[in-house]
Amino acid sequence: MKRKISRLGLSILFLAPVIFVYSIFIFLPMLSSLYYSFTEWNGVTDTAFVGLKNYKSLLADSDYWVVFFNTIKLVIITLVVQIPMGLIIAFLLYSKTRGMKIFRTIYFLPVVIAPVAIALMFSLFYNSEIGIFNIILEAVGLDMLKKNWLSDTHTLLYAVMAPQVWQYIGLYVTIFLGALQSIPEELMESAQIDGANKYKTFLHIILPQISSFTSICTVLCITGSLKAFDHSWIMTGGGPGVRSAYLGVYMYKTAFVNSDFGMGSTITITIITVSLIITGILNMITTMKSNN
Amino acid sequence: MRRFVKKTFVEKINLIVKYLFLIIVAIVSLYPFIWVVTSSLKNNNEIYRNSFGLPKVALWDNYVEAWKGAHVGTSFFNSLFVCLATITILIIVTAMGSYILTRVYKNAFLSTYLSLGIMIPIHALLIPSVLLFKFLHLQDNLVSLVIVYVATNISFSMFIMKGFLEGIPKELDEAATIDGSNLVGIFFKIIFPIAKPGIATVATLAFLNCWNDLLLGLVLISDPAKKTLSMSISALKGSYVTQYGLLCAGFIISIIPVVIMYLLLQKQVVQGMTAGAVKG
Repeated sequence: MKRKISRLGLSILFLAPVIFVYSIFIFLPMLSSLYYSFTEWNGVTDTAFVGLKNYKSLLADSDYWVVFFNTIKLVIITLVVQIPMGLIIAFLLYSKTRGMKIFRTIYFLPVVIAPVAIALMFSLFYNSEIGIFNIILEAVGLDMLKKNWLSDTHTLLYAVMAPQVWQYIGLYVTIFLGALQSIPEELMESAQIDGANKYKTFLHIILPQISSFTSICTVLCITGSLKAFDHSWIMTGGGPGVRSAYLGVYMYKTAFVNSDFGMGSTITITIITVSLIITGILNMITTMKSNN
Repeated sequence: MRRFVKKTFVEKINLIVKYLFLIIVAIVSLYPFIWVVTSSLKNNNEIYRNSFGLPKVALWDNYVEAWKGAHVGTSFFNSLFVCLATITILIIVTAMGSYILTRVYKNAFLSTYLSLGIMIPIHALLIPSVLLFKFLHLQDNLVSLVIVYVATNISFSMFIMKGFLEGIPKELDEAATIDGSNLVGIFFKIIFPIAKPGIATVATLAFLNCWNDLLLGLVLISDPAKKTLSMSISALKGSYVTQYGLLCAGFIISIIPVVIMYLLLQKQVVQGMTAGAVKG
């Protein structure tokens, strides 16, 4: 009997720290963010409960929609660039490549480096004086394409997206490479015996086999874009105005530059809602597919 | 016969195209860093005139100045302290927790509860955290960063640790119980040593997460002497607006620990980051 009690006591003792820290510093804050989103509050005065007022004014806020569609653009660009690139490179690495590990090591390197540092590096590359993009264009005789990448309104948003897209391709290469390596070899061999060419094998054997990884990568692209902050904040501060800001940047600006904690929380809740809705839809599609 | 020869020729071309493509991608991934390394040893004039070449005279002074300026040196050690403290606490706390939840007292509710954090974006924590630490009189204190980093890394650490602990055969615990060890004894004598690979993965990923974070630092710390490296690197852009060599040197200083760690512990880094990815 005594042994049992001490076992229970020790279990509680072992579990307590993790549950305590998590509850106080993750779970409660999340709930209070939800509450703050219904309040008017600058962080100093008392909070005033205003119901859905913040949500209503957010929907009428033209800046919010600019930022919202910037974020959607980022989602689309990461989806159509990172996933196909990751898959193609992984596929090339997978098919008996010499030096596969070296290539993989190099491709993954940018992934581990701080987004702050990457953003700083790219702002040097865009620099009008020493930026290598303009120097390269000049060297190949395309002077007319030289630009002030971060102030030209046509290129601004894409110039801010580029480092983020570039940085994380290696992550998708690695995930897809792991996915490809998990396909049973007999499957590939039997496809080859059946006379399927590489293209057909890829389309009919490989793609269906790795579909769960593809949806994971899709979710990653979406959640990554929805919380994107560093690149935009370092390179342009989201500006001019909110032209190169994403939802994450707009939330930070609203809450910590303009000290509007209530509205900042409202933006946060919309970020969470959008990300839950999209991942929910994706999960539904995958389960429907697997049921068929 | 002719057809056979032709096919190998096509195959050869294919192979050449494939390696060419892989090499170009490698250059695109790696060259930006090489450019920054060479530029970190040049002055403005040389960066401008000789953008792609090696520096004629290596200006190591750039590193000395970057280290001294804009609090890079202090913030380097701030970051190091915060990361190491976070990792230590995180490992103890999550190893204990996941040990109980996988081997002693399985509880689906608690497991799910602790995994919810994976879905919560950091933005949801910013405002409440600021208020919470103000209330705890820990604003502008590195301890607040350690606490938040531990908290935000709990969910994925539990995920990885639990995966490892589930793989350890239960008979080991039972044998140890018969030998008269209690929970604490089993934990330290059996679980901790066997779970080392899992712990290494958690430690590496947590280190990267802490070292690379900017947002939590920005909202919790404002005293320049307490800034983390990410913060002072982002400030470099303002203070060395036209001293590109210094900026590059600061950049290199900030990424060196992470690059070394990546090269030494590549397996753990990749495992952690892709497990972190696969978890959704």
